[in-house]
Amino acid sequence: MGTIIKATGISTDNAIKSSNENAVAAGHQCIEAAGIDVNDIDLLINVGIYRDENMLEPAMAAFAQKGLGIKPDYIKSQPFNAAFSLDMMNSACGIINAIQTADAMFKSRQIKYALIVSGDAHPSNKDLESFPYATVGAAMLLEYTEDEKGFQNFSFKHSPTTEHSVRGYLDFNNLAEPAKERLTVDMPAQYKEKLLEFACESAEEYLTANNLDRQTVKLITPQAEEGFGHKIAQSVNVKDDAILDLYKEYGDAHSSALTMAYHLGAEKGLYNSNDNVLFVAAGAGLTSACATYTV
Amino acid sequence: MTKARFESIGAYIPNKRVSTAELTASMNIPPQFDLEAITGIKTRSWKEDKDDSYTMAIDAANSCLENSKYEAADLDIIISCSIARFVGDCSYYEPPMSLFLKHKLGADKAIFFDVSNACAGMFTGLYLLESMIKAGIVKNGLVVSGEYISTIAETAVLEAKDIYDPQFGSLTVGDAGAAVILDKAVDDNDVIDCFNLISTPEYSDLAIGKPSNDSNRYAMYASNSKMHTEERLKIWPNFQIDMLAKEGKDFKSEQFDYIIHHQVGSKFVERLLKVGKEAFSAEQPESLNVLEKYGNTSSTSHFIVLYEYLKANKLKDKSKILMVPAASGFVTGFLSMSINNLAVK
Repeated sequence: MGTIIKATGISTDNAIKSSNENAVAAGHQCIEAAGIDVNDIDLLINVGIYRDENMLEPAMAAFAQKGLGIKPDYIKSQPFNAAFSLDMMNSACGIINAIQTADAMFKSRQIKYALIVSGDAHPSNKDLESFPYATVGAAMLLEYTEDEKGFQNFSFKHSPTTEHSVRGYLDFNNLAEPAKERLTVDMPAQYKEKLLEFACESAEEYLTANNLDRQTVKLITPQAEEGFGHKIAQSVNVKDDAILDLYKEYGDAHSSALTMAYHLGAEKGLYNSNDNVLFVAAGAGLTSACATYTV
Repeated sequence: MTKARFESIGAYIPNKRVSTAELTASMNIPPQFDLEAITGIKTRSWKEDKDDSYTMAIDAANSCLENSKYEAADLDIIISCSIARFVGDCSYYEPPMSLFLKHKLGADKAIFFDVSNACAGMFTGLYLLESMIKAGIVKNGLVVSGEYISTIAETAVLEAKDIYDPQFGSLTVGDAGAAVILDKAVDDNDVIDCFNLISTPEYSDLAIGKPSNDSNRYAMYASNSKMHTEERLKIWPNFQIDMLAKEGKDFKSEQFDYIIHHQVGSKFVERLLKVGKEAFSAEQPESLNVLEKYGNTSSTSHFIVLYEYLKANKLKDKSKILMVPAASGFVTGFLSMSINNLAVK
């Protein structure tokens, strides 16, 4: 029994500058690909980090739920036709937290489908060099099956201190721009190098602990810079023929990186039935999150 | 299936109070209304200079751990749920607040993430944690919120014009930290009986918190009159009636001793009690409130109420409590639980 991916979607249209719009566009594509009734989605988790206009509330997930037309109003719906949505934030690892949470909800509550969306954007919705992440969106629709497939063995790891971490924040002491368009992303010079080391270390520990076959396992990795995925694969002695180098085309898709990599890999037919796909997320903290997905 | 319980609760309430009279006296445009009469809020808890979202969350978590059999190192998960995530003057996006808390508390083995769901933040964290305990993914966890939100009241003091101003509601808020540890229930006396949340975002644009257009602070723009129509308020009882009916239950048979509504203001609570009474065709339980003293402490508000009543030993043994969230989005639902051993030292 396991939580499986029913469908995925991505939004990479350069004309879209809003994190909410990208999340909704990816969600539409995902729901259409799944061919399901939108009213069967009972849980929506947004794992995007950087928000339009530095919005605090409501949850960005509320806008995604409304934009996707997922049971937006209870009074007008049939009884029990209710959905719940929330934002979950854990840098680029939120996607794994969200999958584990959806897995818990499938096991403990009567929910049919869970949709995870993501999108990051500079709060000004402008293309700025100071913003190191790609303005893209992604969506992953999950369901629970009786098969021995799906996600298993979730594992999380963090460095002893946040010394080498990227830090993204709205600084109210800095009066350079209006606050709704202001953002600081402090990326230490060694961040990506340290992140790569940390991701390699986490993947190595995970592969060993879970006794995964390095000849056959396929990797889904962050794309923090060019060649990031290949370097992880080489470090842990896993074949890298299933790794797509997405950085050159899209940049660092941050909270959307793993869903996007899976989506594009699946489009290319990289994952076959019963393949073990190792999802490795890594981001601020430093934090990593791993899970095995049996296709 | 395993059930979860409130194992412990803690809070940090700053000593500083700002009275409604003080707040309205400092408004740029003198108010043409009696805020205290409309809201029932005489004073609100207000962050001291040393406080921010992070420190209030730490203080609340430590208070909760003092009331718990667990040490920080025993925690399986930490979920941070505040609306703003201030460390000093910076509101953080990454790393998550929960990681900072984990490091400071020494919760070495805890997994962590933040949730953001307006004033339903702590309910959201508890809902996810309850599901994880039921599913056997974790055995226990800490849900915490250090809510430094009075910045929106300061903005409203500068910018709100009248009772119809979308920032009017911001004058109700106060600051506080709250924390709850859940673990597996061991008997029927301390147990989360029924817990469901619903998001109905048809009118999600009616309450938006974001940096002000006119000053260097967060502001909250809410069309309360549209958001709190009777039809909207009825979502909670209608949803609870439907969920209870699925289990062959009704409101009366639940025999709640107490009800805790969101502490937006006394008139709002009165309206919800009236809506509840009509929709359930049942008298409403005794309504617990601390809004007169602390105001609307947003994501922590229900838990500050529970903490204060437990601390004052005002709840009877074997109480059955109903908590009803109401948050931008619009998020509502219900958490019903039995408590007997839950205590505040």
